[in-house]
Parts: sequence; structure tokens; C-alpha cells
Amino acid sequence: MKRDSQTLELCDTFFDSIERCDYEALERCYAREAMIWHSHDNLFQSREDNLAMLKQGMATQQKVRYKDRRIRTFEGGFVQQHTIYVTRENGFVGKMDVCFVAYTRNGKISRAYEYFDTGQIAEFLGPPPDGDR
Amino acid sequence: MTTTTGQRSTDTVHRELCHALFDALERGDVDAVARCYAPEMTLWANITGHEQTRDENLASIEKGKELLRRRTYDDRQIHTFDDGFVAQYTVTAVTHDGTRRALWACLVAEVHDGLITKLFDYLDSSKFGVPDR
Amino acid sequence: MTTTELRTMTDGEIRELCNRFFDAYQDKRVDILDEVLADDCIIWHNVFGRETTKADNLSKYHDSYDGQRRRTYDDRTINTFDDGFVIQYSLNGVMTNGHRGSLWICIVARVRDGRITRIDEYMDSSKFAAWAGAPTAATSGGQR
Repeated sequence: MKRDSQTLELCDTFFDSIERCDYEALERCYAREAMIWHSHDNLFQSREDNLAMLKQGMATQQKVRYKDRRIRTFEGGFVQQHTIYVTRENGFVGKMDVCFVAYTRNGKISRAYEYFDTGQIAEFLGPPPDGDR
Repeated sequence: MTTTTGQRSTDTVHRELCHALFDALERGDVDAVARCYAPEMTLWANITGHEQTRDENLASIEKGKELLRRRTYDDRQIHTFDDGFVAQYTVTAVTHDGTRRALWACLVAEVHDGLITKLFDYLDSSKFGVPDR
Repeated sequence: MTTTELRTMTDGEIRELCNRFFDAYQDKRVDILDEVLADDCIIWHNVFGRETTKADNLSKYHDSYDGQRRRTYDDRTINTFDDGFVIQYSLNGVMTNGHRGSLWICIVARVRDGRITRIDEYMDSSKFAAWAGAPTAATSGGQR
């Protein structure tokens, strides 16, 4: 049965933990079988690969913020629309509009789908470093 | 509203029937469960390999109520077809001493005229004794 | 029931509205699209990063089929909440030259009184060339 407050808390915790570089809290949000799909390659990424990627982001001290979060919960999951802002090493602030759909199992994220426009990747990654051509 | 309120689609009817069954099981409302079943309804469970009649199933539900503090049917992923539905869900049992176990389950139902005629229940009995972390 | 009675739409009603919208898009039924979209419906597209109106979208509807023989909206995974739905689907198209393309799209929509009041559409524009079958750097001028 729908447990809205529990699902909302899971959604908030997931994104807050990335902002706060709290790896343990982030890791607890994913079920053991979690798989994450991204629209840029249309492939599922394993829980381990996804966590490693996010951990690396935390290690490089990139400031990440999820702004304008609009969350809707539904039976077995949630959808959050947000704009992600990432402050790069050179000071560039990249942005991307994202739609994140997550299906839950037993209070954790079991499958997630992340939709964004890689056609606007330049606005997210910023200009390439000088001499990098 | 331009859509007619009289004729509901099969998808709607079957989805609502599935939720009605799960909600009734959560409440321990055996009468409400019975109202979901056709008179000739049978349930086959993979863990026993046996088929229960409607009366046997209702009796076992009644008996099972005392065994647990609470049972919830969460993360309901329902897909419908013309003559039934399939539901993948998490059934969480809380025993009287507070131990919590979550099991992954799948239920396939055949439906005729808005009532369940057959149920096929799939669980993994090797997980019955494994409490949650 | 009249449109002046405000009540939350049920899960079944929202699903039916969602499917009616996509079926209309598929079947080129601009008349049905006019019915299912509220007059003040706003459509936001991530690829443009701006909002457009219902009138804008309907007027451009037929142009959007340029170069396409037919489109189907498949693999519809719909989840509903009190005031709307989220749908993940694949848009499959057959172009006039026979090329077949697919786009994976997600829409979050708001509904009220049997109509859609807002659509937020998420697509990946870097996939448009492959969808249309246009030559890309990878497919043109290379080895065959």
C-alpha cells in the first residue's frame, strides 16, 4: 500500500545525501538489486558502478545542488523533477533539467530511470579545459 | 468530464480488484477478500504445489490473522490484461515479537466478470526464516 | 457529473485520460487532443527549456509529423498520483524513407476535471538525428 511519507523521506534522503557528500546515507537508499538507467546511453548501470561514480564525485569535492525539487509519490515509487547544479573545478556552474523516476522495494530504491537532454551537455559540463582538443 | 463514468475499462476494473484484494488482506477483512473471489475460485501456491479451494483459502486467511501482528502488501507493480492481472509486490510480515520480514512475491490472477477465478501465488520459502537487517 | 464538481480523479480515470491523450497523438486526432488538453494547458519541453501553450502545440501538430509515415507510443509505464501521472514510454517511428527510429521519453503531467493542465516533457535531443535516420558523424563518410 502507498506509504507516502516513507517514500518522500527516501527521495529527500537520497538527494540530500549526495549534496552533503554522505556516502553511507546514500548507500542505504539503494536496495541490493538496484539498477539505474540513464537516458544518455539507455543502459542500466549496476548499483556498484553507480555508487562508485557518485563516490568519485564526492571525493572531487564537486558542489552538487538539486534545486526546484518537485516530487510526486505513487504506488511503488516516486518521480522527482529537479534542476541539478554542479560547480566544476574551474568554477563553472553546470546545470541540467532532470526527471528521476524511482521504483521502490521495501523502502529502498530498486530501479531508477534518469531522463535528461545530453543535447545540452555543454551547459552541464562547461567548456573543455584549455588546450584539450 | 467527457469520458463516460458508466463504462470503466478492463484495466481500471482489474487494477481496482487487485488493490481491493491486497487492502482486504492487510486489514484482515476476510469478507472483503471473499467479495473479490468468484464462487469457483482456486489458489495455487508454488511453495506447496497444491491448489486450495475458495473456502480453504478463506479459512487459512482467517487462521493466519492471529499468527502475525501485521502484514502489508507494498510496492505494488500491477499490470493488467483482458482476463486478469499480474502483481509484483513486497509482502512485509511483522511478528508479535516485532521481527520484520519482507518477501518478494508475484501473484497472477485470472479474472472473469470482475471477480477472481484463479490465483497463482509465487514466493520463495527459503526466505521465510530470514529477518530483515 | 459536471465540470463544476471538483473532485480528485481516480487512478483509473487518470490512466484512461493518459492513454486517450497518447492514442490521440498516435492517431492524429487533433479533435481529441483539443478535448483532453485544458484550454490553459502549458507544455514545457526540456529540450527547449521553455513553456508553450496548448494553441501553439496543436497548431504545430501536423508539422511535427514531417518526414514520418507513422508513430506509435509504446511500452507505456504509467504511474498516477492524486493530481496527475508520470509516464515512461518509447516513441517508435517509421519515416517516409522506411527508416525506423525510437526515442525514450518521460512525461510528468497534471490533471484536473478530466483534462490535462500541464505537461513536462523530458527527451534527449542528442538522439533526434538517429530517430530521423539523418546521417551522423558516425555513419557518414566512414568505412562501410
